[in-house]
Amino acid sequence: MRYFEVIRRDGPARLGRLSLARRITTPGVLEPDDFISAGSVFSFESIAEALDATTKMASHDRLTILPFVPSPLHTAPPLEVASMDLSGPLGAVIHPFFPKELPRADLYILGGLGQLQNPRDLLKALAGTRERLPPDSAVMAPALATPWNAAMLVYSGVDMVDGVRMEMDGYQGIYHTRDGARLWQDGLELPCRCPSCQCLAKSEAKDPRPLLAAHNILKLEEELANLREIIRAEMFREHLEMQVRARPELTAALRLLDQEETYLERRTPTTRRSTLLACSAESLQRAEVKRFANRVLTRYKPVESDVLLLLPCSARKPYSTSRSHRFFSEAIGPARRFLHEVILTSPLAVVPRELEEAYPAASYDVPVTGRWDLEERAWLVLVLDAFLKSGIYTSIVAHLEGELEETVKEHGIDAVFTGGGTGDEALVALHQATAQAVSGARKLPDPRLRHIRAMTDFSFGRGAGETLMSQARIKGRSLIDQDGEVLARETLAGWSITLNGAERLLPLDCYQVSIGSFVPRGSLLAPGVDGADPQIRPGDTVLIRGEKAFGIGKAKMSGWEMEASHRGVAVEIRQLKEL
Amino acid sequence: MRPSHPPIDLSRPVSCWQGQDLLDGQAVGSLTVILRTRGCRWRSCKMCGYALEGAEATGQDLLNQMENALSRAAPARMVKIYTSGSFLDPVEVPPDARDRILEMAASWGAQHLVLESRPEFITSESVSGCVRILPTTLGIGLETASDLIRERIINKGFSFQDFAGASRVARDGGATVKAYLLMKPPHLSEEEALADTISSIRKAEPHSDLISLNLCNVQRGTPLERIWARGGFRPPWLWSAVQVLKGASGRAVPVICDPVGAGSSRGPHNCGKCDSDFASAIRRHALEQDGSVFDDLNCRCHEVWRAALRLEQRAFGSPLGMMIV
Repeated sequence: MRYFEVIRRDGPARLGRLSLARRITTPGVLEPDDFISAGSVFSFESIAEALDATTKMASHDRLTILPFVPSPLHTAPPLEVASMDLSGPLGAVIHPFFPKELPRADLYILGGLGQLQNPRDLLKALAGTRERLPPDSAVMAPALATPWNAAMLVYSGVDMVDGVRMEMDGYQGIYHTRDGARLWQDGLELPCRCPSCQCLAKSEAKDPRPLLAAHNILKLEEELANLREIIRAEMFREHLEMQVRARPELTAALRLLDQEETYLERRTPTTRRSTLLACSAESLQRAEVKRFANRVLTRYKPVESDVLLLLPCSARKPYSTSRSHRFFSEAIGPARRFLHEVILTSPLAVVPRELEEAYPAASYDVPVTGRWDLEERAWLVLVLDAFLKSGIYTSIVAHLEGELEETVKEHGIDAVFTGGGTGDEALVALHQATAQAVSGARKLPDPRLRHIRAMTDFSFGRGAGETLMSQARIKGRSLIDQDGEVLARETLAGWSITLNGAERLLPLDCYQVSIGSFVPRGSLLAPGVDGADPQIRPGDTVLIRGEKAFGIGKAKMSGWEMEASHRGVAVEIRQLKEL
Repeated sequence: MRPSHPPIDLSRPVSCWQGQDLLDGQAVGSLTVILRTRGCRWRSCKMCGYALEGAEATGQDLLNQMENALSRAAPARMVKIYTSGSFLDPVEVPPDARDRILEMAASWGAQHLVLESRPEFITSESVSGCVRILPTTLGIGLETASDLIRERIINKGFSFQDFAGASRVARDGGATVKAYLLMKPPHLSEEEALADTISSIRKAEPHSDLISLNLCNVQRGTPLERIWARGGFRPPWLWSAVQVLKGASGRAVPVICDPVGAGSSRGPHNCGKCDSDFASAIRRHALEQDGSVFDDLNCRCHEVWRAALRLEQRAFGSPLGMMIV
């Protein structure tokens, strides 16, 4: 029996359920009544006595904490305790810097964590430990959480916190809010309206410290509720980029974590319901941004075109639906069938027109000022250079303006620069430049075919589009094969493949989840998964293969997580047939 | 405090000072001499910095050091001769020199000796060697009655049974026994440290004539110092020490305490405001054994200490009350 399950994920942040007598939605606050513990082995004469005491206490309603060896964070525990075979929900204290064989547990408590001071230690202790633990176990950071650091803790892999530091700090006269902490003194104008603060404001209390403690705990609980809601809204990264501004160490921790690409990439979904807001310098480092550029360069196969047209992005997404892009399209006119359109933007850098509906190209927002800072410029030209190497264009038209045009020009890209813009004169210039460039150029394939091919490559890897579309054609809103069978259909969310289409992709042996000899209903649960492609990420379309069933669905967790988990939904099934 | 004074002069003791000590229920004048020997042979305890004071001293050097100390001191009934190791270790203090040193103390006018040794050097021969010169109290660093804590945290290298055996040998040979207890080594929460000290007093009592409580402080160059510097150790609260001493008041065996380093971040401390009041009450109690010296102690930090006691039980290894905002 396992007592913890991850229900939703938003990147590394997870919403879960810890099923004790009280059902705790994580990330949450562990209360003293949620667990029983015989305590440190050092309160016993011998280890045997500690084990005995724990066996006698063990409970099914509450988390039973196995006897533990307390140790400061950087100090090896001076002895080891054999793990115990108890039923019921279990908590085990482990030492983040001294990994040992793990006892089975539902919740791993990171010992000595209250001592954490620097960002590198934070990542090593949290994200580093998270990678070693089973994905369907919860992690608890004791005596550390504050309203201002909770978001970073959760992003680093923490599922449970406690109010210990908040209460202790209250007794030491420290007042916490989501913005940070300060020493309380009589007469401060308090930014909070909780009952404790109202009492503090009136200076009536004999001893302010219990009130400070109560306020601090309340603020932590509020922030956790806030974080749970943000995970549901799939806006965690956006919130975190704001929240780490509370302290330089938190900002440093996020920047360092962004350099540890695998931890984040392994957990970052390939689609999100929410808009990616790129409001800070850290946004440029997001796994989604790097992944998008990477797929444009390695999965996407540029259209065979003689002419390349570089365009700026638009506020409205997908770009084609924007006013400016409609103007561009009208100005280019019939020349559109003879040139390849590529949009330059921050932070995604290079977006081929065929991929404008891919995540996050179809849903991101940036503060638009016309200014391009050095980091944005460097990233843009890095990706653009690599992109240009893969296509053989005989001429380039750049309808860009301001600093974007300047960036491309200064980088030495040989193009006809129109000066950009959407005014009448600018559109005439665009018209003339493109008309001139396409004279004698090859005609491009049907834009819808280009679109399906590009999106299929983007999702399943280079060549997948060609495999899917061999001898296929468009009919209405469907892609059909020579026998008239539908391979893919256009829906509101874009093109999606059918079982027939999926069968064509089988030989590629990618994005597959293999299952045992059964027919899953509704959703495929993690215990039913025999094997999964390690590159699968939440949001991916995956093929389900078993002796008795073949289907397609949407991954709810990463492939590695499907393999290692004993609980939770692995794939939401979209179509399935029994074999 | 036992400060070291480089460069090392082998003709002078590490340190010596005069004070008052409890003897047969009375405060008497005392002289404490710290001899610079080659140092403790065990030198593996995690909080001990005394082992670093050693130097290759010969028997003659030790005699010179004793001579030097006595020549500067005013008369005192009690002489305490410590070595930052074991006075009865024949390698540290050769038996000839040991006899000569004790005779010097006797002829100087001392009436009672206090010496320290690890249990393995307490034999009927070494005990009688002292007792035949002057009445002797032997101090043994038991630290705690818990073998688990002593072996695994402190790394002391002997068991409670070893201590009890040495105590029997010392008492059979006519010496009295002073047991040192260490309050709050690392890895223990404040509450666990309190419970360990109280239970250790109870268990050491039958084997001791006097119990001396050492409040764990952070000495330079020790493994404990490295833990403390990274926020992994908070020395005991003086509130905790007072609670132990109050509880021990009126027991068969007196419990004394010299709160070394009290009030500093390396030593036992409360909030900074009340530390000197607490330290002087604890020192008075060591001489008067009267629990009422603690009656007037009060401070707002009492609630902070209570919170730390309670909350550290849920902190899983981190000390509280030392986080920087």
